[in-house]
Amino acid sequence: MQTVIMKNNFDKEINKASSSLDGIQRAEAPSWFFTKLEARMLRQADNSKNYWENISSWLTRPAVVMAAICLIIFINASVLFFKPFAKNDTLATVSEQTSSDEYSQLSTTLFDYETIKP
Amino acid sequence: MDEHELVSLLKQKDRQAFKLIVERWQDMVFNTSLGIVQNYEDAEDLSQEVFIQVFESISSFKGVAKFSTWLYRITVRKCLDHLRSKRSKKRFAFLKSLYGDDNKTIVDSQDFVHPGVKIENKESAARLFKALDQLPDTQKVAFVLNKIEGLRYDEVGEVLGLSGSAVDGLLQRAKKNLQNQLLNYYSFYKD
Repeated sequence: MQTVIMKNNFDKEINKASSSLDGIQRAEAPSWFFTKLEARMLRQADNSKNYWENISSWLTRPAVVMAAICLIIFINASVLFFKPFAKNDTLATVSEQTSSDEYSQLSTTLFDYETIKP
Repeated sequence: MDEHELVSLLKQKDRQAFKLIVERWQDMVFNTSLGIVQNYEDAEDLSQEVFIQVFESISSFKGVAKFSTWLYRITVRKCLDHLRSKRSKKRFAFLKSLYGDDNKTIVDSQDFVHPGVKIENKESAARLFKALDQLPDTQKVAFVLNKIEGLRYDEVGEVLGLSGSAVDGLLQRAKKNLQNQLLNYYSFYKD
């Protein structure tokens, strides 16, 4: 009996909760919503503008420009005068000749195909 | 000025048109956000983000669906992204510790009271919203759009990309789950 009464009470509470949204009114947006929205959009625009302004002002500093020019000159000079990847001539000739000999042994010409007997 | 005129002016980034659009739909966006996230400050923040996105991506609105449908979709997406982000932060906080560095609990357990609910229903509505918060996202959104925003099943379907019958099934499951949640709540407090 007590279980039935408890179940009825639960059902009553559940129905009450389920129908608690009947007649609900739409919540209104906070006051000055558009003003706050506009202020936020302006802040965001300023932040992104400031980011690029900071980058460009840093890049145009005399010290940064001079350092970049020196770096470019150094790289060009090192390629022209130091030749870090230049080969030794004698060694190059020998290795080229060896490669050439190997290649001639390995390659076959049309003449070879006609003369080689199975 | 009608919707089409406003949209075409907004595409030209007309400030007055944007203001009119915000004023016309701010309550709708805010009410939907509030129903889903159940927090006043978060709902306001998300509503602003919705209109910022509207302003930035208005050129992608082709006019195939109604403007309000497009607005609802953006709102629902923003709110669900917010909820997912909040859940993952909570999970991480739980793994680290239940208490912060200065021994404060990080768990949020305030009862949400929707401002549009009648005074005599506020207590019951608070329990319903707590149960609503436990529903899967799609059921929660369908319930909010239907019961709190007052959209018809076909209108809910347009927002969610579902048929009317699919929305009906979704809402049936939502109601059943809500009743189960409420039964658990009342059983627990009765014991």
